[in-house]
Amino acid sequence: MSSELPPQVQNQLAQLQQVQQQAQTLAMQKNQIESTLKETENALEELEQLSGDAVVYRTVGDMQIRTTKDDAIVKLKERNETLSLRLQSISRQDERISKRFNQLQEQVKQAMGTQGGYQAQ
Amino acid sequence: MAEEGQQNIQNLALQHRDLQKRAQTIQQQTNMLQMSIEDCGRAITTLEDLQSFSKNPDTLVPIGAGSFVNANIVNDNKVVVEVGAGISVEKDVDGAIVTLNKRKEDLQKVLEQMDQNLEQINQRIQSIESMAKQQQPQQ
Repeated sequence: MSSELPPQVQNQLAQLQQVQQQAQTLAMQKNQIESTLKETENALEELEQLSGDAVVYRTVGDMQIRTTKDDAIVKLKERNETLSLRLQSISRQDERISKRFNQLQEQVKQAMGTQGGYQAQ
Repeated sequence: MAEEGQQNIQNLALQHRDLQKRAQTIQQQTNMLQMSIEDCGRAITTLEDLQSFSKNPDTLVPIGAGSFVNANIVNDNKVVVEVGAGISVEKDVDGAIVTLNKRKEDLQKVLEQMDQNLEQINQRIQSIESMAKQQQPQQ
């Protein structure tokens, strides 16, 4: 199909595919961070409900090391902060990529308007 | 006109391949979820069964390859349960069962959602297949 298209459109299509792949990768990373954040928040919620002298363990490699409730909360809050920052950064990248994708899609649609048939996804 | 039809078919084939890939990924994820749900169920059953034994029963702990070593359950009312993010907390048996049941329910909800997504994708795959069949005689 693409061999019959003008070189400029072929180039735009290649870029569109590349941007689409980037968007998919970012979406996967975003989902992963969001679910890790949710998991951390759930663990924090569980910890908050415990008494001060509760027995708590933290995973270190394959080991479970005993820690205190307060220490575990501090560690989880740090983790939460790091994850939130990463999420913000990925969301910004995602916005940029989405804009670029829409722009390219529009260009391809216009170019294909005269060629007919193709529907950019 | 024939060229346009050919492009439509190719476009449908691309969509079909993409949807099939997505369906495959979701299927793999649902399999993993099923395993986690069964794992929760096994842990709950184990805790419930343990309560039906006398204090300090003779216990064997698996070390793999169908082999066991003797062990003592020092405290049969305390269970260490993972609560996520690498944190585990000690709970009594009832508390542990509540936590595990909640986790199981949460996983089941996600599984239902994913099953629905999979069904929608499969419907779209079927509709693409019938659209492709309709397009073929035009060429």
